Amino acid sequence: MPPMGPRHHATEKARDFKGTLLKLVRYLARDKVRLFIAIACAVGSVAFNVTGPRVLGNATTQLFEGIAAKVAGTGSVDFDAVGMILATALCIYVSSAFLNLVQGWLMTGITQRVCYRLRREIIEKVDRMPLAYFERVSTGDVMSRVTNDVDTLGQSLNQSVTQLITSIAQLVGVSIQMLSLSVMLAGVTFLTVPISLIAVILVVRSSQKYFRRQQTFLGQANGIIEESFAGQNIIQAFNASERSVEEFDVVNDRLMESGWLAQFLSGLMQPIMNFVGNLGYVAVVVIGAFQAIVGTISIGDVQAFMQYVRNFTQPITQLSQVSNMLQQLSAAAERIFDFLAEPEESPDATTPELSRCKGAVDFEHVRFGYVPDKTIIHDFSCTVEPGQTVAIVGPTGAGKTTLMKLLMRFYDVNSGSIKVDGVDVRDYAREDLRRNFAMVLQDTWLFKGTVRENIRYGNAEADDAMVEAAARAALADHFIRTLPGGYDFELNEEASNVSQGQKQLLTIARALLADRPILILDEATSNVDTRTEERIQRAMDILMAGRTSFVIAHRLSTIRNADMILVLRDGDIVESGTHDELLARGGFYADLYNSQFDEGMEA
Amino acid sequence: MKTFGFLKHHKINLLIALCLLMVQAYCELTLPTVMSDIVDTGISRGGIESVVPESIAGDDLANIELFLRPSEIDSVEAAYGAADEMGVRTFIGQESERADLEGFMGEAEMLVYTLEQGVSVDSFAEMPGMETDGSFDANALQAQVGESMDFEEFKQLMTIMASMQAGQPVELGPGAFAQMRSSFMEQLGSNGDTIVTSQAIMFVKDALGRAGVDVNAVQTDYLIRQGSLMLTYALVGALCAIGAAFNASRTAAKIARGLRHDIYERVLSFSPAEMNEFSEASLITRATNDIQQIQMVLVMCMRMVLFAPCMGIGAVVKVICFGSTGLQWIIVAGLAVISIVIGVLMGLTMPKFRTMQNLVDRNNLIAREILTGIMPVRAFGRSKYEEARYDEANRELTGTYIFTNRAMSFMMPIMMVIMNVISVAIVWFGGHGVDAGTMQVGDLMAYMNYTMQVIMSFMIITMIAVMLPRADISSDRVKKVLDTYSSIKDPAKSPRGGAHLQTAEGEVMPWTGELSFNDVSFTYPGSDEPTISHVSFTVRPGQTLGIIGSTGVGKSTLVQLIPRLYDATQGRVTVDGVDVRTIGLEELRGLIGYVPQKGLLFSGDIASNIKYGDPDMDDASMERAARIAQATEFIDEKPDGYESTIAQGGTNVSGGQRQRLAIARALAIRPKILVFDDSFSALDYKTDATLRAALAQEAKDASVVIVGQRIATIMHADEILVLDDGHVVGQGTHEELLKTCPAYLEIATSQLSAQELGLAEQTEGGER
Repeated sequence: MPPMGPRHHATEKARDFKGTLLKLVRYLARDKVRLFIAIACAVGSVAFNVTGPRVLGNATTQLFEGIAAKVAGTGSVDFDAVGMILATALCIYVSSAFLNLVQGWLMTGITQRVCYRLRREIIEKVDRMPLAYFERVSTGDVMSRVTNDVDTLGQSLNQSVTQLITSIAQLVGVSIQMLSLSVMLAGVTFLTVPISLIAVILVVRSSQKYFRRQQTFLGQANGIIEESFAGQNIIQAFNASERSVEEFDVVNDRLMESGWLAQFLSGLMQPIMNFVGNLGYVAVVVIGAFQAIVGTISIGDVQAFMQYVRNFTQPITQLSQVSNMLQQLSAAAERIFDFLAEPEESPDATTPELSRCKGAVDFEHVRFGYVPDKTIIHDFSCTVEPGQTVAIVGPTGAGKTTLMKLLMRFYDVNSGSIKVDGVDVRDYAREDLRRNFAMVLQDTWLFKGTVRENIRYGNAEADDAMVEAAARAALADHFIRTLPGGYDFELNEEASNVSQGQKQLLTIARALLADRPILILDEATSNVDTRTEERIQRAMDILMAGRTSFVIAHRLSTIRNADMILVLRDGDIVESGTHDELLARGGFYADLYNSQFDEGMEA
Repeated sequence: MKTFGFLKHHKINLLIALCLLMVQAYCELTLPTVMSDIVDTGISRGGIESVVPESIAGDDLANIELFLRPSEIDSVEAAYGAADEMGVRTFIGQESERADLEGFMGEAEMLVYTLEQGVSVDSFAEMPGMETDGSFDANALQAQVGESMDFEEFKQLMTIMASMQAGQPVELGPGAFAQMRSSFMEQLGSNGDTIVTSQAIMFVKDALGRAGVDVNAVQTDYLIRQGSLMLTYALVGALCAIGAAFNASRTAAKIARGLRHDIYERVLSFSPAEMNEFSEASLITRATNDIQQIQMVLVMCMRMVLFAPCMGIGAVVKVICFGSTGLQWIIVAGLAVISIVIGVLMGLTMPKFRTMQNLVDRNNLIAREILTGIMPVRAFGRSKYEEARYDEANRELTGTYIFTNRAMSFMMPIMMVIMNVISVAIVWFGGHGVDAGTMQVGDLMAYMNYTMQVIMSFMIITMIAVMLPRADISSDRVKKVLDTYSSIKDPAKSPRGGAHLQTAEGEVMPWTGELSFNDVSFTYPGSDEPTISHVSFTVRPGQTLGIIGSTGVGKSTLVQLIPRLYDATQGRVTVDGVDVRTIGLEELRGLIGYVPQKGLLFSGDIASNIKYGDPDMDDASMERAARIAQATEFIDEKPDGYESTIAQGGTNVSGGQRQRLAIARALAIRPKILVFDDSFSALDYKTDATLRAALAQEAKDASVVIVGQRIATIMHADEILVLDDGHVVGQGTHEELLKTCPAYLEIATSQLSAQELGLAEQTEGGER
């Protein structure tokens, strides 16, 4: 199972750093040609950029020598030569920038396309995964992969790949240039590398401790905030506000302490690296000056060298940032790849084709558990004739909803079989099978869009007249017309701009429009009050007419009229029959039913 | 920019940051100046800083004095001590005098040096004053001294010439050639400064050698001194940067802590009206991510954003102070171009950045819809459709990402080109300046350094400018919460204090808990229609009031008026005849046991949840509450009993158990008024019934208000209120309402058969 709970991006590490990066490289490599050109451009850009200071330095030397000659009275500045050198330098710089531009252009495209592909693959993957996964893993967790993780990838992939290439190229290029200018000065500059490395390691190590601490406290603080905000009316009602603020302040103080230390310590990196850089700079200036006096190096070379020193510490700092980024990147990428590697639904059978079934359903010795050793349904058998209404009642956890999920093949039975029109459901293609079901669930699933779009969801081919007819039949037409815009009224994200009962009526209209032979109504009225329920009940009666219907409800009044009531307890049918038969039997059902009307105050 | 507003109360820290950054910028900017000195003085002048040497041989000084005017000679003689046994004279004057001497001594030294190097006879002949009298024969001279002559020969020649002119032997004394110097300088014109200085330095170098000074040591000393100076500046700069980092991270963390505290406290005081206005999820984001975002940006502001202008202004000042190099226009032009480039890029991308958020939201929305709707999507066979829908949003988002990222990736190379073009321009135009003698090579190099620093600081600003809009959105969102106050005012915090129940004599009496609504109406803020209108009832201790009605008719709102989660907009809610708005909030809420619709628990254990209203409560009270709430059974089943942990939100216990614990929590404080807001919905019918029975027995003295959807839950209440659309459409007992209230009858018959309702009881006679 993937890791759950709050994420700590800053400190999280991938389990398989190399393997994840390799996979990522494979994704990048799908744009092979572009990637190659981008890398070549990056290297070229750095190469040009690295030769620039040297050429510019030649101009300074020319000037310096020209002036010296002038002072000595032996000549003057050769401005033609200086001009030529400067023109060359300009060309070099412009080429470097141009290559850099091309590189940025290409890399952005490449990395963003990888992100696009990953987002798309995740969503497509969702469609192929068994429902079980989503009952185990929260929506938020999957969402965070589609959004946070892919975003992290998108932001850091471009930068880290580019910086990795350019930093290494720059390091190599600058080193070569420096060595060719002066081995002595290059040696002095290289001496700063171990110093900066030690500084980087020290800083990273000391700050990481506080970063981890900060993440922990941040998690704690967020936990308290989430909990308290959710229950703030209870906190108020129980006079616990002050206490709660005090508790929060303890964590808040700790968060502040660890937070600023982490910030500060990691912020030390820049001034320290800057200082080490300046150290090298000073050393080069002083030593270069001595050498220039002796004449072993020209003044322009010293100038060029000074720029190289500045460009030398920069890639080292960048590389340390890149390594950090790669950690984050691989952690995010690993979560995405983990998700993409989750097992998928078993492949569909192709025969026989099922267009529209009659609606006969047989459960034969069905046995099922979500986890192998925890059987929920032990031995369930029953036969439903086409057009019958079957009510399933029983306490929570008795397996009512599970049965429906088995019927629609969101899960497969462990043993026994479920048959629709006499054929095992596993022998149908899932899509063919599901095309015969319409469902109305307790959680009304509506999306952001117009009322019309939401109803039409049941049947994409339906025209407006059909949509409205379905709404009329579902007793939803009236309220829809009172909405501003009527059928074009836009439902908001949580569809909270219509009432719960109205939402349910819309899902019934949608199911009506879908016109499927088998109907599943799972606690469709449990979230609404009884008067609304009555209207929904009437709409459902219309919907159920002529269809095989399975009704799950805990309000027993809803199911009195069913052709058959199955009383489930711990995965087995304990009683079955019509309402009157079961009441007369005086068993579990009668007990359940009568407890509604006990004289509570006297008991 | 709004983000900066949070620094308002940290002006001192801001000032400290500014000071530190200014020092840091000064240090960073001084480095190139020192470097320029090393190149100009250290290398090309051999480490000799002044044309006025520290020590000089008496002969050399005499040679110089030949070219000086009398007043100048006096100053020089005053500045140098007497010759020692080696004949060396040492500079003893003040540093201020040195500056006075530099002008004319330099000129004199230049002339001495030139003559020492040897001067051709031809040019000697063209020297000012030579051609005027006919006494000079160049050819004769040439025959005598050769092609060129050195200084000694020159002096001899001049002595001879002077003697010839005077008609008697003349000794050449100080000031002898002063006239010659003036005419020579005139000829050289105004551009000669650099040449004068460099020649004079050459002379000083030689003169120092002749005075027995180790010239190499002077140069080495100079380089090492300047090198140490550079190191010192680098170190001070680094220390300032570290100080600034310390100050910035600490201040930002403190600001973040303050904001978190304020928001937390404020949200806890919000009434449901404010909670609904913001939504819980949004408040959580504001208290967590938004504040983190603000903290991050503040740190960067106090370190980099402030540093950039310090650097920029400093560099500009340096450049101006550099004197008239004639290169200022390059930097100004460069800055102008950069500003235009940044402006154009920002103008292009900022609107896209704004739409990007919408696209991200849309992407997330569709993904969320797909994830929450897996069953319906599959059942309706719309997977392909959903994928296509997502793909469209995904493509659009990717396109925008590519656009903005590409635009931003242009920034770097364009900046680089501008920077490098400026470098090249400085070398070219500066080169001409050097040639003309208006600047030196080292100056040129320093100038390039400044330019880079100015541009670098601009680049940092632009990098941060990209982050600012996001931080500003966060700041706005945080500020909005802090600008909102709870609509519920606590009378205990008013000067008069909260009301108490008093006897006729004015003694404070304990509350009995008689609850009354007197013609109460409530309208949600911003709504035209009242949610509740004209509700009146009284519940006395020991009585039960039931409230029933469709969803959305205001049942929850009505009971939320009791613990003052809302205040009535019209009419009065009273306890023992005292308006609840005059009772101290804490006192009022201590009287009320409120069980909300959602049985929300807090992380901790079962005991801490039941004791939530009073952590000091004894265990017996806790167990009693659990017993009445019918929670004992499942608590005892748990291995840890009352110590069993409860996860955040109580997600590790079932809905029914959660509700029972929430009921126990309310009962535990032994309230005078018990409010159940549809709190029995997750209980099965059996538990519901037993619980109500236990309640009737154990909470005899409390006034009980029960909101319910099940008829069975409220049918035995002493009085039942039937609400429809905020209006009371029926008020009375179950039996009365069945007869008089059609709405009640409708609800009742939809849930129970006539027989079960007892309507049939008279006719069929207690079959049950």
